[in-house]
Amino acid sequence: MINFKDRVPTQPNRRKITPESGSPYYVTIEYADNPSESGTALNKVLFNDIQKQLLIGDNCVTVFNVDGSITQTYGTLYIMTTTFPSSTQVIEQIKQQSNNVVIGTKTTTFNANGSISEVIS
Amino acid sequence: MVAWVQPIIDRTQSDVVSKTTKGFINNSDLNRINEDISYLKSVLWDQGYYSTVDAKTNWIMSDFPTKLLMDKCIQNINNLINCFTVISTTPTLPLDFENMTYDKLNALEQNLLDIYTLQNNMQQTYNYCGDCIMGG
Repeated sequence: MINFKDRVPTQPNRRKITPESGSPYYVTIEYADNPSESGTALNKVLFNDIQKQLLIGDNCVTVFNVDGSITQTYGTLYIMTTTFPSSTQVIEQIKQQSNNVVIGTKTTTFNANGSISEVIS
Repeated sequence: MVAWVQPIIDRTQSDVVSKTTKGFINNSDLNRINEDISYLKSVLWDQGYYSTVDAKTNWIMSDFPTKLLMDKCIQNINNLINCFTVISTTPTLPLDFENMTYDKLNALEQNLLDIYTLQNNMQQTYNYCGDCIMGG
């Protein structure tokens, strides 16, 4: 699995041009093609989504456990366990199958005022 | 999504001495800072940078700035930095609002401005489907 990273420039689209004969100089290049469709950016969020689909796909097995929790197994990669510690709280925890390490937890709380709080850790 | 509001990063000692609006921290300042935190969380989230941010954007004059709320503000900015990046010239984020000074508050908002600028830079350099050839 690749952790894709975007390039984060301090001087966006700056390029150095070195003529075959002559001194190098710098230019800034940007799109000026008046697109009818701006297109899909080739970036971290796109590649991560593609990777996730390739690795996990639709291969999810869901088991409703006797203690009320739900276990969802995604291929050979992840296990998500959903527990309901109270009538106002849901905890979803994702672990890597290979080493049982927790990679993320989302706690959803249904507040008395009707709002919903989500905390991702 | 809340709108980006230009941070204030040019407070001076004379603002404090002369008691100009920039020499104080009012509810409008806290709302601007927290709205910018919320904005950055949203735009970064859309780019695949996920952070936990709980920003209070509805400060009113009678609200009391408790240590818990003010620490949360700093923590929110730290969370944004940790999920994305800042640059070598970005000033150190104040640890808390205790003994806040004009230059520390400038530094706090400079962190937000740098994240904003960098994520804008990043988006400007994206290539798009149809532009690239494998290995090219």
